[in-house]
Amino acid sequence: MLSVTPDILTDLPWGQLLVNGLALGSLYALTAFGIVLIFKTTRVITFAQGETAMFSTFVAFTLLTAFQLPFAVAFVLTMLFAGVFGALIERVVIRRISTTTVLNPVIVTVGLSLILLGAAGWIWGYEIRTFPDPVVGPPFHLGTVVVSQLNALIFLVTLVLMTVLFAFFRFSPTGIAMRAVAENRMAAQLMGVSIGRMNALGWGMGTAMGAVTGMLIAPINYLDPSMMGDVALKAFAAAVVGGLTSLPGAVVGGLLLGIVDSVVGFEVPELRNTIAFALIVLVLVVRPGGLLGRHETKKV
Amino acid sequence: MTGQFSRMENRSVPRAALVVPLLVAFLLTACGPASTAPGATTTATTAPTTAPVVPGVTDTEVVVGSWGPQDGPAGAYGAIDRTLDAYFKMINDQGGINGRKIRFIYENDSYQPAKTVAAVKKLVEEDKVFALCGGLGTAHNAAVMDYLVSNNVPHVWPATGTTALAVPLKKNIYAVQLNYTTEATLATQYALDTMGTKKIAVFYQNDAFGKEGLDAVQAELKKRNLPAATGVSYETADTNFSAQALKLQTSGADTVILYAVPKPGGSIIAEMGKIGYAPKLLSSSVINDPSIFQLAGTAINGMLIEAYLPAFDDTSNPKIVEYQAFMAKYASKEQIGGFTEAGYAYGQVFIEALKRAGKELTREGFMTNLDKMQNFTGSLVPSLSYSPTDHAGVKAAYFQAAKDGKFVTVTGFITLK
Repeated sequence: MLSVTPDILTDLPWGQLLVNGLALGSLYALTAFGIVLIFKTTRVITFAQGETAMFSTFVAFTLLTAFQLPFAVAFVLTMLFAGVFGALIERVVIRRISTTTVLNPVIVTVGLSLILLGAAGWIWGYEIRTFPDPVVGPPFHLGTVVVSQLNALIFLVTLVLMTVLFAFFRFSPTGIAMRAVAENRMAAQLMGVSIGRMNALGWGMGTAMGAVTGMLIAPINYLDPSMMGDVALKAFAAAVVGGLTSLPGAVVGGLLLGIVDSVVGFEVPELRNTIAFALIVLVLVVRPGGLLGRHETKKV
Repeated sequence: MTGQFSRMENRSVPRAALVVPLLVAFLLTACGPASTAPGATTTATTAPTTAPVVPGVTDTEVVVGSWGPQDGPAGAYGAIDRTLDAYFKMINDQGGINGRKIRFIYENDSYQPAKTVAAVKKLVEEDKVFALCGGLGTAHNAAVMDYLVSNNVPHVWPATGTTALAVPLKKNIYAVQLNYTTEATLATQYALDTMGTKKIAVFYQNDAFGKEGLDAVQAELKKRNLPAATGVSYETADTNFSAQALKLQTSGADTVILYAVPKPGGSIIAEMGKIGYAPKLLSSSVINDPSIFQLAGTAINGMLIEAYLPAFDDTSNPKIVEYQAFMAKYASKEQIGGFTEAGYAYGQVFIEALKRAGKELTREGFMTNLDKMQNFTGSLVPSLSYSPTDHAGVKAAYFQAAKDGKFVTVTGFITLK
């Protein structure tokens, strides 16, 4: 099965593997971006990113089927819902827990993910549902490479979101304030930035990013409470590989993992996770701060 | 999570755990080898003056257990246990069997063999089930097989087609479903002889279930001196199958045989469609349910799916009319389809076995009488026979074609060449 021959480079359908990998990687990147955003603003590593995304996707499903809204409308409404949902989680739960130990937020967010898993199962059931395709129609052909309409949409949405977010953090006063909080909470506070508002905003935006992933992956992976398990794990890994403190790092990590997933999944599918995580260990051994992160050392 | 789907009643039965092994030993000697004529429904043993203590059996109740996924990649199979539960409710409404009502407990293992082990231990040791019916999954049955054999718990119709159920023979395990080796061999023969297939690829689950399918395809190809099929595997935790679809396409196969459960099976069909790859498709009976049409989309049209029970929507068959009437009354929330049809049939076979075991219900008597079942046609299974040396179940299947959201029967029953 594992046939690593010299002509492997020419044997593989690289173009197609790359397109598939980048599409999957874009989704990992969006989720990872949310994780990093939340970490940077609130210093909490969230393990609930997958489940908030799943829950939001069920909300989108309800808007699409019960209310028969057009996809674009449901998409925007769900992003808004997820934003409020994330901000509420921050206000009601995260803000009140002590972060004196790293373990508290970990347990709380793991707990949140289990609560959401159970709640979704209770409200919508555990059966596997199909999620409406946002785009239908014949795929695009680039030479021998096939790009499905959904993959094209995934690229488009990722590109637009990343550009908007880049501009937001670069040019808008709120974005700059958020970056200031991430850099130095105390200094930001002294400059008059409301830490609480920035924290809620970070959670809201991070959760909305996850919701986008959920809505774009559900047409492929189907909709059920466990739909985000694998994706969230990979996104988490992408965030760590990228450096946890670096937003571009999350994107690079996500795309990288997507491509690894695609190529290894083609050649030796049973080793997909093994090789992905071996790579992560390798990156962290060689560059403890991640690909684009800063290695933070504390002075005793 | 386990127990959430169990129906628990506050009914404690005095049990003397130490007595049970002694009793089993006593019964083993008391029954001896079956010497009565086939078909006889004599009670298995002459009880001593005091009623014997049999796990899960009182004068008014018999406890039956099962396990299967109610969520996860194979969650669609959850309908089997839910239908079986409804079937036993119907039997209870009709007064039960030999004066006993059935208390059915089914556990959710999320299609994870590790959870199956815990679930089965709970069923056997805490719930003290008399027998199991419909425990689902190949790897899952394998995980508890030694345990069930050493505890001598009868298991009627495990929901899998693994050959390991009946080869070598296990005294307490009664397979019904057509085994995957026969099924995959039939698919390969049909593809090569009738569909004009030149090159086969197999999309399979990377465990004993998928590998049995793959191995049977390879064996048939080897027998005919044809090149081996390309095997493309998936893990049950996988959610994205675009890479596998691409691998199948680049293999150049004109026919893909699927040994996959509903979610990955539906997904790979959809993914192949998305990249414009349209091979001839054949599938194991494990996705024989309308739920697959939603998951797979239009790319499934033309796929051949094996079946060993009559078509669930063939209302010209009086047995199917009966099944559909049952569904309307007792399981109206569930879909008419291959999975609920299977659950209904499991119930029929189990109840028949219980009837034949008679009033003095013991595990040994239950099995001795089931071993005498010959050409039983009173269930949806066309004909079912067992003997003390053969617990393999059905040996024939037919092909259905997927067409615009329906299955259309395209062949009669076929057996191995």
